[in-house]
Amino acid sequence: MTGPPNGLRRTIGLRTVISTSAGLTFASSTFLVVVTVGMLMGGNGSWLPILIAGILCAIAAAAFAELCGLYPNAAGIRVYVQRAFGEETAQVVALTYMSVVTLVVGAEAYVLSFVLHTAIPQIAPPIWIFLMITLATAANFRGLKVAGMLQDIITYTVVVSIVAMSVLALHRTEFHVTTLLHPGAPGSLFTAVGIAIFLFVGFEWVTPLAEEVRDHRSIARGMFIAVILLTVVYSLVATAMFATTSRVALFGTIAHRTPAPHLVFALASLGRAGEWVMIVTSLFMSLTTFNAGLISVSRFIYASARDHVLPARFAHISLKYATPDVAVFTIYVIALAVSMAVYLTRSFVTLINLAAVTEAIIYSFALATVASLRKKDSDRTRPYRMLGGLSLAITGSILFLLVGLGVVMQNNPAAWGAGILLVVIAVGWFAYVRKVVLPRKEQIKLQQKQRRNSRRAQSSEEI
Amino acid sequence: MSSNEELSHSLRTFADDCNANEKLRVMNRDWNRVIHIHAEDTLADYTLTCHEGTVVYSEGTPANCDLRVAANCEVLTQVFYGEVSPNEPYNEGTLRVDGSEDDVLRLDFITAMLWEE
Repeated sequence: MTGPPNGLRRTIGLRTVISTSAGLTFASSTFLVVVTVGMLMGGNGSWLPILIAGILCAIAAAAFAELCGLYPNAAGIRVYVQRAFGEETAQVVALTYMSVVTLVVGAEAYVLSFVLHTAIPQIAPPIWIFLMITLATAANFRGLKVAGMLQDIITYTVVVSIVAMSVLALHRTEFHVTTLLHPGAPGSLFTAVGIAIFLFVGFEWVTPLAEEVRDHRSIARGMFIAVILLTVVYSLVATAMFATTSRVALFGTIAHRTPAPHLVFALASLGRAGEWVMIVTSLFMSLTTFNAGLISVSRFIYASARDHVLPARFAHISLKYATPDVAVFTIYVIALAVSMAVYLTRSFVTLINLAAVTEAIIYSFALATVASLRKKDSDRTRPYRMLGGLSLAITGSILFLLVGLGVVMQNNPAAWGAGILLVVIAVGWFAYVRKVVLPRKEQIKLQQKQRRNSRRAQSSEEI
Repeated sequence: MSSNEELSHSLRTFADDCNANEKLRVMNRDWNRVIHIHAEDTLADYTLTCHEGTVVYSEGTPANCDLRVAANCEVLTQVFYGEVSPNEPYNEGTLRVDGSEDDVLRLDFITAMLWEE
């Protein structure tokens, strides 16, 4: 089936597709990545790995545009991988991905708690963590979400704010930036590209809007424009940060990383007023991350319970608010526990590395899926076909896998720790799917068959 | 294989079950939507109109709709009889539901409350 179905009401335009795609990736924790990338590149050449990561993500965007046209489905990557590589792989990929998203919400809460603690020092970071996650959960429980016009306002405010602060900061240096073309060591560039993937995490989560857009081409266009916008914004702010602020102040030490380097930058280059603007900007950035993260994971838990992957109790629905209350509460408890654990262990860099490598693998899977489905579902209509076809899909898939490996191959515990954590999560879910889910589903299929036969006999009589 | 008569019967049964379920009527009291059901193999069209908690079945294509559910007749019949969870064909790509994310989820809530609870 192709094209827009007749009579279906569609309200979303390109502007909102762009703001949703870019807005989902904005997070306060992205500044930690900007600083890590800058340090790997020796400072001012940080725009280069961001640009390369942006180009790679544009290839991934092309893959998601093709897949979303092929299978317009809110379950996204879970469905694409299932069609290409079977249910077992799809379940493990989806469960691992959602586990990592939950951990990233924990890291984000940690960073934002420090930002808000800077604004109101009387309130300690753990209390901010509790307040923010509780508020975000209350909104989730009521079914409120950042969307449409509100998403437009938040995203474009963040873009204008970061660009304006970066240009103002660079103006103070009279736009004189040394070693701008310093490419860094080849190994460092490779690792920096992998870590920079984190700056684009979630741009593809806009694909569930495919059935709400006025023009079906908007999703592909919106993702491309969002990736370009993110590349420009992060390249600019990375350059401004390293051109105006001391590296030691931005980074801290390996043992004690500065949790909110963007505030250090804003204060150093634009004074107290700049710091306040950055606090508000950071709050906006985290708002969409919490909202999208908590909603996506809670809905995923609900859908997994409906699909007999997780226990049925997670599919319970609140009659009053029409939301999956048990799933929402579960993710609340997990997010709170993770955030507090991150606060106590200060392990947020490990989680950011974990997210970068996981996202690189997800994008690798997306491109491999395009390649596989070009053969498996060759007859199915594709409203959008990615340029470069099979060869670009395979090359892109390998590249993402390599840059993902580059993230965990660094010689520091936060890097290889992320690799070990990812393997533990994936192997854990693999064992669960194989030992629990697949036998359970077989049993349910048998029950469904029996139910179908008896109901058919009954309905035949009634007809 | 299912026929159009069976699909039509499954949809009428679905509407009756929804209307008989007090919890569902409460949950859907402010969810007013028009759902178009399209059988891709037999090209049959049906409409379910949800208004203030009551579901009304009719035949034919609506002028405007909020949700569009499309699959072959067999899959649709199984889904609306509650024989399979819509998640299965949806995740397999054999059932397509067009509409806003929230409306798609609400439709799934309805089937969950009818047959799973």
